[in-house]
Amino acid sequence: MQLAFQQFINALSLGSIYALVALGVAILFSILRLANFAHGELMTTAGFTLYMTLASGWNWVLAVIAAIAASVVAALILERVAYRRLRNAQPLTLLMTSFAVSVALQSIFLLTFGARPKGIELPAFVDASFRIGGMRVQWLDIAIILITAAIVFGLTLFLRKTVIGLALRSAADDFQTTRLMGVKANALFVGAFVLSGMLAGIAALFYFATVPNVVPSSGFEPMLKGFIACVIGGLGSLPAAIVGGFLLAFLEVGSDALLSDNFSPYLDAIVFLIAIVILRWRPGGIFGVRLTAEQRV
Amino acid sequence: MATQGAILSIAGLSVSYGTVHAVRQLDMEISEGETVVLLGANGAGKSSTLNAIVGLAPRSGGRLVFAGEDITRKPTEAIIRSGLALVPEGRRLFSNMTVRENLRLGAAALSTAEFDRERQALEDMFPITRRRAHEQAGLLSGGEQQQVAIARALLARPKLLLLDEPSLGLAPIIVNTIFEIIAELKRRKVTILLVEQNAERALSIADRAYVLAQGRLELSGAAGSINATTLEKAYLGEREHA
Amino acid sequence: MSMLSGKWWKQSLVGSALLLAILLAIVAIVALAGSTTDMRILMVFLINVIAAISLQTYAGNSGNISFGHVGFMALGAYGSALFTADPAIKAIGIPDAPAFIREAQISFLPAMLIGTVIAVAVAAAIGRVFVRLSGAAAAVATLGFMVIVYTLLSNAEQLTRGSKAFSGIPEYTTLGWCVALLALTIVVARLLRDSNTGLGLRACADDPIAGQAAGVDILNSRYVMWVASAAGAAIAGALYAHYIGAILPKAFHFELTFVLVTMVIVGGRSITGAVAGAALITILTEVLRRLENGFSIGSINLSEAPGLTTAVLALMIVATLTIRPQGLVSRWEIEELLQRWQLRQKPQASARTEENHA
Repeated sequence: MQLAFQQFINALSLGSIYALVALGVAILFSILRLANFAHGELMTTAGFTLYMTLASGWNWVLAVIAAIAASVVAALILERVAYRRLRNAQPLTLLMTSFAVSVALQSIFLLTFGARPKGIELPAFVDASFRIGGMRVQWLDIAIILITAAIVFGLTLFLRKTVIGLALRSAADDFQTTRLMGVKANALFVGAFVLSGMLAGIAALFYFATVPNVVPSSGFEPMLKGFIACVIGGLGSLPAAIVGGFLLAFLEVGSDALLSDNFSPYLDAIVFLIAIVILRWRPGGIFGVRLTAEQRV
Repeated sequence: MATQGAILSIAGLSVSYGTVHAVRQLDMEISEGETVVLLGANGAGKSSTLNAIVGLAPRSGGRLVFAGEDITRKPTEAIIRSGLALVPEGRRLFSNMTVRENLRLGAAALSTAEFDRERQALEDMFPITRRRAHEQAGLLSGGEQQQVAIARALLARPKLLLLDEPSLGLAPIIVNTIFEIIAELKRRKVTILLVEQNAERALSIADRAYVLAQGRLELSGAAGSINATTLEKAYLGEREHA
Repeated sequence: MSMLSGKWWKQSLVGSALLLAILLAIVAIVALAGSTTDMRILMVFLINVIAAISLQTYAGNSGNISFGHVGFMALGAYGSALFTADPAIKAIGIPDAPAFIREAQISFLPAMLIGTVIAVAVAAAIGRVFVRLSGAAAAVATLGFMVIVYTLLSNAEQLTRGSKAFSGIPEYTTLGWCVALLALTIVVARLLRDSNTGLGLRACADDPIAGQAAGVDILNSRYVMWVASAAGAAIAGALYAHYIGAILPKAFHFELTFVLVTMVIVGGRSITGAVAGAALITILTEVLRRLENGFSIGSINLSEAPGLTTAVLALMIVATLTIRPQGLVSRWEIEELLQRWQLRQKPQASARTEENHA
């Protein structure tokens, strides 16, 4: 029972990270139909920024701000340099471009930082925990869950109450008519990339707080998990991305708990296999087209 | 070229999609306060003309001057912000969003206070936008959606309102409502360029008319001077100037 | 076009012959004039062409990209390697493997067949999922499949030595094997592409509703291409394993996927495109590597490319896609390109004669 509760907290915390990554991916996909594989490298950018700032003795609050800012700036550079000219390109071209951008960024990290893992010197409070009914719970997990909940709530408010939020939602529905409202196309793209970059930065903070070292390819795994979360939820819908993220985390933690230790190296393979079975059953994701059509946040 | 008082003047406009020429060498002018109707058979290039004015269709030639400003090379959003509004064919409301949210986007450039003022003024003319403000726009009937679409376009107080087939796909009784609204807009001195299939209704409301056939201007003149016979000839592409 | 003429396969064979003639000319030039390094580059190029054509058989016809075919290459490579490696080496490297694998030492062709059968069986089992997906969802799911194969191979230490290199694979792959299997791949790929199944599928990629209205069974057609392309990828994987002599799961991961998919996308949507893309990427990679290393003998393993080469290559791909999004040869095959070129020459020629007359 105690173990189950601890696993539940773990799954919620892991699911929060996946949900944040998936949201960042889904925002760009819903508006630009862009599957941004370089989303992982936005996270790696935040990771290296965290490593450099903390290693040179910055206060952790400043380091956190710098990390999020770095991935937002990286997202804006990508928009300007790589994606802006390809707005009307075929989806496959967009997909390949993002794949190439991802590879290019990984190579640049390799050139700059080398292949050796860089340990991030996390502040001590990251490991702090408390006891409740004989169980040890990490404050970090609680913080991840609560902050993610706050972000989802804030994002919902932003998308419902501000004009740019409304425009982002309407652009996901009908881009041309949104321009007919006098909304600047550039502003929409920049807005979407800023949001996506922020979500990548915050997700990276949580990710690197749990896995405290960074290599050039660090972003690949969380990126792939975020994308798979989007796909099993229903690609293009923000609520589906969140649900997909938590589902993936519960599958992962659940499989790990139920299967014997011999299987734990194969965990990713098992979880992806389950995801493929889900897609066999519902090719449009769990929520399929219905939620995508009717209930985009 | 531009006449004094012309709010929009089009000179030599051509639109082509690849090798298909939708509009060829079109000249057109609209003065302030006028209601002008653009007629023509299916595929004559009417919608292409409207879309080219707001920069959504590819313009392959010609010059567009709106309110004294050359808008030929401007992007859509800049043209809209300079005072044009288009109610697109098929209404194109954001169906997942509420009526109020649709209206708010129509006034994207306005502050919230300005939006509330404009909205309240419009709600008297379009009671539906008040009564069903918080419902999903996609759940409204076609006629109701058309009213919301027109209201959405009016929110930014456009100097020229472009209406693309507002009666398309609506029941006859609803078409009456829509034409009453257009008549009311005309009384309020809104400058209108109307594209319509329903030529008879449109001519009865308009000051002047242009008729397109196969992308070319076939006929133009005062609405009263155009009758069924001249119209039929023009639709068939037999050139004549009234 | 091909459906209109009774003997559509004639055009496929003509096209295959043209393509093969060009490739043979390249082989001849390198074999006669090239250095040892050039030969090694040529061999890897030929293997990559087989892999790219196989991937194109699925991607070019269905309009769906797959990031998973490197997984099939890995299955072909390990499948073939396990049954051919020296039992003495296997006794040390994988002592816990089942006896029928540990003691096996069969010749190239049957071993390659085993690898291919494994890949085909896996492709057939999971294919129904992927043929239902399209666009980004298909890309992500197939990428997931690649990671599944990678995770399995790098953890099944009893069978594959895990993430460590599996070595002692006999170096069976000769230029003759490469050319023969390349010829087979080209002919089969062209026949599949020009068959009614391929034609219908390509029509659906352009317009799914019209295609289905014309009676094309998208899912089954895609499934046929998926399984066939997995077989081709497995053959390429086996050739690779028996050329290098040592393999590791990391060689069949993100980077090879990127190289392979790039070849296909940069090339265009035809078999000719896959060859052109493979040629362009190989040349670019080699030029970059030589600029970087001077003219020293570089590693031929693409997965070991250092950061700078990969970064520049990736940026050049972005540039290529920006300038020519439809790919080098667009949707055309070699004989169609020649016809189009001739047609473009003719009106100019006749215009010139008219000018002369005037």
